[in-house]
Amino acid sequence: MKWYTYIICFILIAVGAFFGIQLYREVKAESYVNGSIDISNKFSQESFNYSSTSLVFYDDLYDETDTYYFEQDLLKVEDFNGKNKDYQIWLNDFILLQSDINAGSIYSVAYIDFYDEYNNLIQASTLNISIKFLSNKTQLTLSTKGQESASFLEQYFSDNGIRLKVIEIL
Amino acid sequence: MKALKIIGNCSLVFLAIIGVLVSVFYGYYHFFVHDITTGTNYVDNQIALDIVKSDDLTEEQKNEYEDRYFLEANFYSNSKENGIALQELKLNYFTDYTLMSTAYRSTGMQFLGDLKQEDLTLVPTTEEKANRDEPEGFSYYDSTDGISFDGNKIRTQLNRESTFVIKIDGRPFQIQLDGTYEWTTYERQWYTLWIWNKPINNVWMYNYLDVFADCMQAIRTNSAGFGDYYITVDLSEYFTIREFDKETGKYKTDNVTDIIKNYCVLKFHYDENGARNSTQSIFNCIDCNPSYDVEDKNIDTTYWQERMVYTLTNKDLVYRYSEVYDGYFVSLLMSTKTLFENMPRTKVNIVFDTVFEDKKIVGIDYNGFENFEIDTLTISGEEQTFYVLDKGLYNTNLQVLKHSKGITFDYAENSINNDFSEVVA
Repeated sequence: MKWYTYIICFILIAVGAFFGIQLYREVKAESYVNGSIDISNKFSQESFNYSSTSLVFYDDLYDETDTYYFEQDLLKVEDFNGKNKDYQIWLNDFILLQSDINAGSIYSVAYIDFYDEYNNLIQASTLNISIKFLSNKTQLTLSTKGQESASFLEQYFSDNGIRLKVIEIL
Repeated sequence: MKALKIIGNCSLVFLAIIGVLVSVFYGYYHFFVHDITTGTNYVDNQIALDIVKSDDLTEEQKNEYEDRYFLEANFYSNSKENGIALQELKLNYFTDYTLMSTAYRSTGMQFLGDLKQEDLTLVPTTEEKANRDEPEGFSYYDSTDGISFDGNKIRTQLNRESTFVIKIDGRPFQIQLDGTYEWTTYERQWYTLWIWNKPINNVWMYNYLDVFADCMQAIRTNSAGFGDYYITVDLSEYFTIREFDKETGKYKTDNVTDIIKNYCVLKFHYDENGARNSTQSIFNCIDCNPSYDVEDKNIDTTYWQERMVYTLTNKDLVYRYSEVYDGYFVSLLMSTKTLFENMPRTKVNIVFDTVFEDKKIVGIDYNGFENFEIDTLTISGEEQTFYVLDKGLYNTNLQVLKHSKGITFDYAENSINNDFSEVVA
């Protein structure tokens, strides 16, 4: 054999060994998981449901009404129709009776009184709730007047969390 | 000698032929038999197996444990300049292959400011240092239940040596940050009269700072904008995933990361505001301070109890006409009473006029408000006698009765069983 035949043979053997190892790795690879991730349900929700362990109100510097806001954009709600269906609005364990339910929005009010350890009323807070069901998202706005009211409501939601639900009455 | 040479040559040619055959077979297997795109690892929700199967847990409890994706992030951009910029990344995982709730753990990192990818610089470092050190300038937190966190040194380290167990398709896998980024630079060589540039291979060992900055960039560029959303991120550049083999009790050694991508759900909160206090952190701490607040002076919000206040009016009452009294008696629906029975800590006021939609109201009906706790009852109207029939206000624990000046009350003997204060307005 010529000298270059030897080189070619050695190269072919080396290439064969490399691909042999690759082949072994692919054939022996066992760690497959077949299936698809599904987060499609994470881009919309059937009915409105917002929960959080706490919330914080912000003062709008350009608003002179001393109103404090908590604003949150949420996933769009698929099937809200306040014109043809009846709904109940629940804040934590309380139903909100004073609610104005429109075709694509809800406005409601919650009144919460806070007492000290001697049963004296120390703060009466009014929480305005606005939920707008838009085509691509849901806008939640909570507002209250005055820093003291905002602080007590923050404390209340920090102690109890917030669970705001809109439930269709069938 | 010649025979030996012939045998050697034949063997060499034989091995070369085998080499060619193996190469051809590999090409055939790789491109036509083995579909590498079908084997994809998806890192989904890290809910523990016993939580998924448990019948003892309520739906609320299940919800609390359910939303635990491997990566969770919190990003207060402070675009409105009403707080501080805050970025947080949390890893939810297990400490062993049982994937039970007792093995659940969370570890996270927090950055005060707006860290961007372009701020990162590739600084040469030793392999030992790259593997051992955590990114600087961060606060780190740890949790065994995913709810209460603690910071400082006694916790899981987020470095390249850390391995975590995650759940994929209900089975345990090991995940480790051990990816590298390689690039080539060229140096001109004087001895070739600067004609030839010598290639120099550079290696950057990824750390959690790179993962952190990439996740924040993904959030910053998400199409939905500010809010609470989910996106999928490809971590195959950073992490290696190995499956756990229950038969051998070890993680499988075959490294399939190069032919299997791993996609992961990143759950995040992206806010236009700045963070104001520690309750907004996913660790309930900012700068390892659970009482962190940007406000210097806080209002004392210490309270004993709260009451949700309801005011019922004419439209919430039901009416019964009485020919004897020539007017209507009011009462509450049983469904209204039941509704409030199921809502503890309420304070209910009732306010009504004695004339409503052409109905003249003359009193409270038999058992009208019985067993329904009332704080303040306000009745307004013209001069008239207002009758409270038997058990009309029984067991109401009425505190205050407000009424117009002209209204006088005629109480039946058993109409009320507690003292109250009367206010004439």
